[in-house]
Amino acid sequence: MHDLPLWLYTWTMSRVLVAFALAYFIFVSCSPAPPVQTADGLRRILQLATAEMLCHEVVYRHDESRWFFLTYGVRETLFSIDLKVQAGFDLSGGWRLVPDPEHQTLRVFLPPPRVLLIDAVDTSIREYFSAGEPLGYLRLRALLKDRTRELEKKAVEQGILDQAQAKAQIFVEGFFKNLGWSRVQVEFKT
Amino acid sequence: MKFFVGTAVLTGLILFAVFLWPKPDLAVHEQTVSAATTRLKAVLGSAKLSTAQGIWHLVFPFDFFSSDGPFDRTFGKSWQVLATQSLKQLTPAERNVVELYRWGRAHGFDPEHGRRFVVIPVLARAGVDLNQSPTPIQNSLPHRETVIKLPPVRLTDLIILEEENSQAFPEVPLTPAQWRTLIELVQPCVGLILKDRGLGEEAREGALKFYRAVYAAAGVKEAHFETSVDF
Repeated sequence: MHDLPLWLYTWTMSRVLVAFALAYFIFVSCSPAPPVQTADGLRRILQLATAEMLCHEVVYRHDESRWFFLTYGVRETLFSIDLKVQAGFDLSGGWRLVPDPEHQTLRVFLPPPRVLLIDAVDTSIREYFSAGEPLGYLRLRALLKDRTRELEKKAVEQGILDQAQAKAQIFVEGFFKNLGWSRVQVEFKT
Repeated sequence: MKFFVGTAVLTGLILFAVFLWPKPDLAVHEQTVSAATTRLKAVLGSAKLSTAQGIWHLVFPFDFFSSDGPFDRTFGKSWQVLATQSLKQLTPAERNVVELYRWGRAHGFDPEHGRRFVVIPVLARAGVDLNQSPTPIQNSLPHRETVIKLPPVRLTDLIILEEENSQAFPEVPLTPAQWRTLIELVQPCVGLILKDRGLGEEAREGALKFYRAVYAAAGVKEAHFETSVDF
């Protein structure tokens, strides 16, 4: 070993390193993926949705990575998407019908309205352009998660719960009058 | 001397390779996200009563195109047979399955030999549209029991969830437009899968329970309710 010239020694050992690095990457790329959980989560609910709010967002994302002077992993995309907020009543939290057949009156007690669902409507995506490597579905969904995070607060500020209550009042009256009640009183718990 | 210099250089190279090179931590990642929100596009009224809900993590393409999968039971023939037929010979539902399969193959999703997959977390709700009134129908049952035909049970919401922990899976290079196409093709097939997994039946039971309570309040306690699952 002592008799080897420095350049030959370094050259040989760098080849060994490259071999190790190659083996490392093969090991990493062949490692099994995490287990996929596909268990069913089916349950009974009772939710009455009476109002939906649609918002439209234009999203621009630019990613790039630099390692010293080397730029790689450039991704750029511009797209728009609709975000949906749904409000209504969780009836499993308590609703009650109090009939008064003598006066042909029905009193309907409903829980307070609340936001039932917030969703980025994936099928409404309109992509204007994408450049570089594709964004990837995990990055896209993480991005959409961020966009929906503050939407509930905005929707409540813009009066979606009032809308849900007003529409429920009209709907519930109509629904029970259709079933033969001449007077229907709708009351909301607070 | 040469030995010590060589060893030092080599040690430096090893340290560099082990601690710096495989880790991209020293790299600078720049991310720009800009979003412009249009305050409000529409407020829609609805009267959807959801009576059952499920969350499933569907793995495309394997949950869709497995042997003895949901399509085999629904259509009575395997997706492999469907895929060999021309689109003109197929019903719209069958055509959708074949289009999903072909799109998947064109984008590297091979259900038989491939390792590329996406995990699609789906939240589905099923129930009835309360805008459709129940209709009493002439009955032929004994004891003159009233028969009331309820609106059909349908999917009320089909949501692709945005989940925080999805980063555990390998990324698949899809553009936003490709993701939209995948979801457009997946959604009608998801309905079939979820019906196969019992969502429709659970929702039907829930709807019946709701209508029994509503009619009981009106004094109709002996009614017989009928509804169907339509998705």
